[in-house]
Amino acid sequence: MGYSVKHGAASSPYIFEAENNHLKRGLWGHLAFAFHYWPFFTYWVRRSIITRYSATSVGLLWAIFQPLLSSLVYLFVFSLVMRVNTGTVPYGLFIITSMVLWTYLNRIIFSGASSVITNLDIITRVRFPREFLPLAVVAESLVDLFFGMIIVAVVFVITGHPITPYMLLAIWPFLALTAFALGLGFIFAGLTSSVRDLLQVLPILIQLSLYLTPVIYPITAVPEAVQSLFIINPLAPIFSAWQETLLYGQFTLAGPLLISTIVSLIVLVLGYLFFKRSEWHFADRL
Amino acid sequence: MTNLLVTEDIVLVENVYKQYQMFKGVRMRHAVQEALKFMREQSKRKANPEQRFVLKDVSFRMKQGETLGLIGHNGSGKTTLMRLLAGVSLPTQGRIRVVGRVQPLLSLGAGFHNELTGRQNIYLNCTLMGLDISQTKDRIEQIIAFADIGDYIDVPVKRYSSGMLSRVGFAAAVHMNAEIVLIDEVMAVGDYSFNVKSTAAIREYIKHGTVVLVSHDVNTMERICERVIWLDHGEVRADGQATQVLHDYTQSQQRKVVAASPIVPPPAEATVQPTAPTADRVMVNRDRFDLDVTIQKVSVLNREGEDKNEFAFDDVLLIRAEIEFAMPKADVRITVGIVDIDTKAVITLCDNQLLKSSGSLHGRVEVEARFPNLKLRPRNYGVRVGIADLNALKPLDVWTDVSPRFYFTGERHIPEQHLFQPQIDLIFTPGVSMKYINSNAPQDTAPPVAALETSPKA
Repeated sequence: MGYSVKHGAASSPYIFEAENNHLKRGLWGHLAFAFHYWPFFTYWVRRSIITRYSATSVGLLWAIFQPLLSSLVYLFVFSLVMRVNTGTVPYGLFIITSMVLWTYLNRIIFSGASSVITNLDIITRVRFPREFLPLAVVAESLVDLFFGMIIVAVVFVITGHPITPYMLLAIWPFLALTAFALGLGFIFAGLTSSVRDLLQVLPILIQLSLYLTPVIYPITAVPEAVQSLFIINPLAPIFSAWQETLLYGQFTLAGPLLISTIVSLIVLVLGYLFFKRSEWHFADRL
Repeated sequence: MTNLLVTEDIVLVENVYKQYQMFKGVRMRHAVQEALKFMREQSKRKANPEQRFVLKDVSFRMKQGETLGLIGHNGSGKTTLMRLLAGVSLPTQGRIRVVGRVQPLLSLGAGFHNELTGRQNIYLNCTLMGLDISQTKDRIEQIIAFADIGDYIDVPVKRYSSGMLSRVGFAAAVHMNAEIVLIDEVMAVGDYSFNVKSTAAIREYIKHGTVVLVSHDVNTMERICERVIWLDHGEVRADGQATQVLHDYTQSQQRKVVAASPIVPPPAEATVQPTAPTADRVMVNRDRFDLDVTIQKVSVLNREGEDKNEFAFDDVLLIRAEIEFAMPKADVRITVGIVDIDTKAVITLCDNQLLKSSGSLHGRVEVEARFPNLKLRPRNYGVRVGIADLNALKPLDVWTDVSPRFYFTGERHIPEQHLFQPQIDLIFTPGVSMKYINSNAPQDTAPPVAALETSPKA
């Protein structure tokens, strides 16, 4: 029987060494440790997807209906009541395209933040790379986004929306958004141990930022004087670029988008490091 | 290279202190208020040098293959130390180094998901413990065979009984081959046949692996561990050979328990108010049936007649009872017993002589029972004294110390057959005698010092 210690004792990632409230491991050490647990990550994502889309749950329907329903509400408010000018594109097409991406962001931030609390039973017992919990949320959300994009494609085909090569560029705002959302997910997940009612407040914060971001209205609907201020919000160029490439067949925001991308990457790295620093509070405080 | 690793300490704990931060988090609703409060507390705490540490200056090392027991009262820091070893918490001060994967055997099936099948959960559990895909595939069949739950392995675990769930959880846990296993109370899992299997598996682990065991069961720990650390309020009180440390620990616990239960003097008005609530003497159970007969006091004495609660293994033990007979009573029988607190077994001694006596007892009567060299197990014992009316066949007064009254110290390694093993209401106690002393009863047949024959208590 294999009660030997050959593989484990000799391989360094399994050494746990801590001194004076500090783990003796840097950024690369964290990543190497995470790499050793990669099989766990794949199974963990598989688990989440199976449970979310299993026959007994309404997960798939929910994934499609969530952006669809909120789109319908905004469609009613902004095309019938308030009349937002979306140029050549009908508002319905505009809102569903934006809403799919917003749902993706919303889910990564909120589920990422709550992933620590929901998996407390393994966090307090076993040592594993905890960053996989928010990261797995990204993988799940990608599946939701995939189904959402199918809906968008169907709507494009029905309305006879022109397919342009600019659409390929939509991958850039998408990637920047993923980095930004994951970074925020890390930060909020790390904060859950010290701010106890964060998970109650977070949906309100996300909802507020929806109105401050050109999601339910195009950036062109904003007065010129205020538009420059919008560039401060890193989400604004991301969503504008998403709408431009997919709906208007143009790409004019490379500069602001580049800044947003850099900001997103900084948020991601800082968020990761913050999360790795605060992960020790999870078992102690929660 | 690998040879070096074998001789290396697999667990190293150096001057470890652990303090849980007082800061338990704020609420956004009262953000400013709570932040100010926290800052105030922080500054106050700096002024106050006395800080509460859950672990204080704990140091030890473990070699590959060693089995270490952790013992201590509740709140002594055992769980905190286990968490540090598991790598889910950091030491506030000091250094910890654990080489290899750590498998906690504390809660079986942690991380299992209800919607997944048993097999899927095993995959997940294996990878959670840091195994790669090929290692997981190697042992999945072994795990399934060990769990032995048939076709249920491919059914979502939400349909499992709790027994099946713990079978799968245990099977997965023992097949991880982690370098270090943390066991919190050796548990019995599943039905009898699985229990046998799981115990054997734990034994196997203990034989080959490095194990840290937390338990309150001294006997199990003595069987399993070579070495035991005794934690007392977060400090290492003793660290060494299991038998010695466990012996010291048990003695200290016994001393503590006996000291905590004071000898309660019976209230004087007890004779007047027979139905008075006995709440003020929590440690003594009284069943009073006749107001004229009162057991006033029960004392445990040594050979010299001094009050004592600690007895050596083969000491002579005297139990003396003071009984007040308000009215003359004839045909009473007095029994004196030793109660084993753990098993509730009683060794009873009674005075058959009085059966034959026609005289009656009146006033203050003292009864002394003598128990020489009982060879009882080293543990805590209570006392029971009863008086019964033989004609009416009813008890008159019964005094029972339900809390520990005295304890035997002694070697822990007395062969079982040499120990006196009390059974429930055991009556045959060779070499035990009982006598009346200082009796001012007007009876004429009171046996002065008579080794009384022992007989059934009724």
